[in-house]
Order: sequence, then structure tokens, then C-alpha cells
Amino acid sequence: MKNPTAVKTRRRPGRERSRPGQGAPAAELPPDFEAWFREHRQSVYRYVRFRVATRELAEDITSEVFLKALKALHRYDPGRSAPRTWLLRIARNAVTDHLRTLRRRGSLHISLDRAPDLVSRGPSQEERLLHAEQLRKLFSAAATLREADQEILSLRYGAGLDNVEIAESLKITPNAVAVRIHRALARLRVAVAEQSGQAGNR
Amino acid sequence: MTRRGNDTFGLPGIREIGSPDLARLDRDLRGIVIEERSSFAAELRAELAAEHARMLSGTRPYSRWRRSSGLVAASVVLLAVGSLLVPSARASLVRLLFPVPDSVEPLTEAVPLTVDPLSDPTVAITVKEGSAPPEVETRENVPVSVPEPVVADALDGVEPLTPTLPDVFDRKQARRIVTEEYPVELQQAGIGGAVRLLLWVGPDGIPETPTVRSSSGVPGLDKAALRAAGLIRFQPATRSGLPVGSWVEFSIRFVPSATGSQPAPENQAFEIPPIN
Repeated sequence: MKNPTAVKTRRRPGRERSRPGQGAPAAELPPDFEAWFREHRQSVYRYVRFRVATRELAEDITSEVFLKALKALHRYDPGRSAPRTWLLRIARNAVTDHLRTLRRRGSLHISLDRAPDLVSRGPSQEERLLHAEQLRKLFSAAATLREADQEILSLRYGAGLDNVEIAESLKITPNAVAVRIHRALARLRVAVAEQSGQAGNR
Repeated sequence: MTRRGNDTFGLPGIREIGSPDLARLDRDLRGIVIEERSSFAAELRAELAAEHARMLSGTRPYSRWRRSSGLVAASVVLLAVGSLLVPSARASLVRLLFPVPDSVEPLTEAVPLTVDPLSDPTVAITVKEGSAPPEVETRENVPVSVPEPVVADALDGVEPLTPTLPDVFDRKQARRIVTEEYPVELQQAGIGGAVRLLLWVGPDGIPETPTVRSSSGVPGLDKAALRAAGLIRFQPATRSGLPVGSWVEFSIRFVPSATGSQPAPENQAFEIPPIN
């Protein structure tokens, strides 16, 4: 069965190298871009992974983000934004496009029951297993939040931006960021409670 | 891949702005570890490097979009070529490229040649019914009245290339075709009539898109005339010595002899007035 969440617009990374007749790709990237890739790839990937349902989608969208950034590198203006902010802006647009596509297909709501790559930190395997169910509820509840809440929580807990960076990315003040995060967490708490209540009523 | 610790991000403590519940949520969210596929970073970097190399060389990958657009273009070309092989589709194309004018313009306005098709028919075909195959009366070799071209004194002695009108290529064959297509049952019933047709004669002399301009009132005769018209071969019109396509309007008149009808007047029997 066809995966309704598949991103059709691009190839998965790594396949291109196996295409016959193309030869080995050049190993060089622009020096600045190489540094950005090393420093910010994880932030971009984590942000995307917080917003989409599966690891495969996150990989596709992350690849798309860096390919777009590479092609638009000559348009980057260091005076306007930091590299990470610029990359995350591209990532936000890519995720928004993806979610819009899902919305059009009517398949936006995706079960988060299967998210094996998202695990809780813990000192022991037992503790991580104990937290797994709680984490699943947390993500299921977060998926019910409005998009602005998911956006700001993903920037903070996914990409790991601080309030100033989030403010630069969203073009609002750091204080406004703090307030929005606080409200988003409050709504997430309610959503988690509702999810627990629904689970308890079953 | 493991996520960095709580304090690394320099995030303000939730306790400063919220309740212990929110602080626990914050701690849980910070504690999330995202396990990235181990080879993903290397694969993505290789893809970026390949894309960068293509950008430098100015070549583009043979993308799915380009492959799709190529297939669409090939399909369109094949469809267009294939449609030329289908007579009805070819006829539609001819009509599109050479629309039939609403009113027939006199030939004198188009070329310096005057022909009155009503007074100077090129051929007349009438069909009589008989006990055996119907008798056919024809008037062959009717001369076309062509006025003397007006030429300048400087061109005296030089024979100009006069435009010519389309004509039936083989009159005997045309007579036989019309005779064969005249339905026997209509002949025996003494039913006849004239059908006026319009068709396109291509540069190769092959008629296309015969249509009834004026019905005989008998569907059987109209169909017979259409069938016959599609089988008759023509000499194409010429301009400057080269064959050109042209619209031709003419009549086929079926006259059963059993009714005692006389052959149709020659000037109404089979006319080929060129339209362009």
C-alpha cells in the first residue's frame, strides 16, 4: 500500500551515487556550507523530526532543506540572519509545504504509535522503557496542538534554539517567545491530560 | 545521535515562568533523544557534494520531471503524427488550417482566371436505371472557357504559368463509381435526385471530408453521393505550376430512367467550382 505521507518531490539520499554512468561525485562543498552542514544539520533534522511523523520523512525533508540551501547559497545575506536561522527558515517552509500537502490529501493526522527513533533519555535501559509510553503520549498530545504551538515547541525542543534565536526566526521579541512557549506548554499539559483521560476511559 | 543536556541551550527555567507541571513537561521534552540513522549524514553530504559538482559543471540531473516532460512531448508528437494517418482526424486538421468560407468568393478575385461553373461544367454525369446496369450518359471533354491572359508587352512570347482548376482525374472511372454507388433499390423504385457536395481536394488529388451542402431529400442518395465522392480522384488545382489543395463544390445527380426522367441539364449535373 502506498504510504500517504511519502514525499514525492525528491530522491532519498544515497541513491544517486549508485546510478550507473554518473561517476563519483565531487567530494567538495563550499567551505562555508560544509561548516554549516557540520554544525547545523542536527538542529535542522531534529526540528523536522519534531514536526513530521516518521524518520523517513524527516530525512527526506532535511535533505530537501540542504539542497535548497545549497542552490540558494548565493542569495544568503549574513547581515540579515544567522546561518542556522536561515536554514531553519527553509526547513519551516519545507515542513509547512509538506503539511499542506497532507492536509490536501486528508491524511494529516498520523498515528505516532510507531516512533522508534524517538526515545527518552535515561540512565538505564529500564528507565528509558518506563519513559517510552509517556513519551508516546507526549507526542500524540503535541500533534493535537495548533500549528503555531507545534512550531515554537519544535524550534525550542527540536532545533534547540534559545529564545533570542527563536525570536529572530519568528521575527518577534524574546519576551513574546517566552510567553508563547509558556502558553504552548500549558496547552500541551492539557492535551496530555486529555489523552490520559481518554486512555483511562477505554 | 544523542541530544545535548538541559543546560546547554541556555533556556530559561520553566519554574521561573510556570508551574511544576510545566517544569516536568519541559524536562520531558528536553529529555527526548532522536536516534538518527547512522549513515544518513554521510549519504546526505555525498548527495550535496554531487549536486554542487553538477552546479559547477552546469549540468542538471536527469530528473523525474524532465523524464515525465519528455514522455509527454513524445506522446503529443506520436498523437499528432498518428492523427494524420486517420482520415477523419486529418480532415479536421485541414478544416482547422483551411476554414471553409461562409460565402464563396468569385474565382476572379482570387486568380486572373474566369470560369463560370454553371455555364461551363467540366463534366456531366447522369445515371439512368435500366434492366441491366444503369446506362450512363456523360459529356466528356467539355472545354473550360479560359480567357486570354493579359500580359505586358515585355512578356510577349513568354507563356505564363496559369492557375488551373481541380478536375476529375479519370472521368470514366468517376462514372463507374457513381453508377456502382447508385442504390439498386432506389433505381428500381424510380427514385433519383441531385446531391450537392463540398469536399477538399488535396495537392495529391485525394478528396477529403465530403459533406452534403444540399441534400437530395433521399438519405440513400446522399449516402451514395458521399461514398462516390470519396472514391473519385481529382487532378489538383495548381498555382504557379505547383499543385495546391482547394475546396471543391459539385453536384452528383442520380436520374433513374424507369421514371422517364431526362438526363439532368449539363450545367447542373456535375460542377466543380473552385472556392479558393
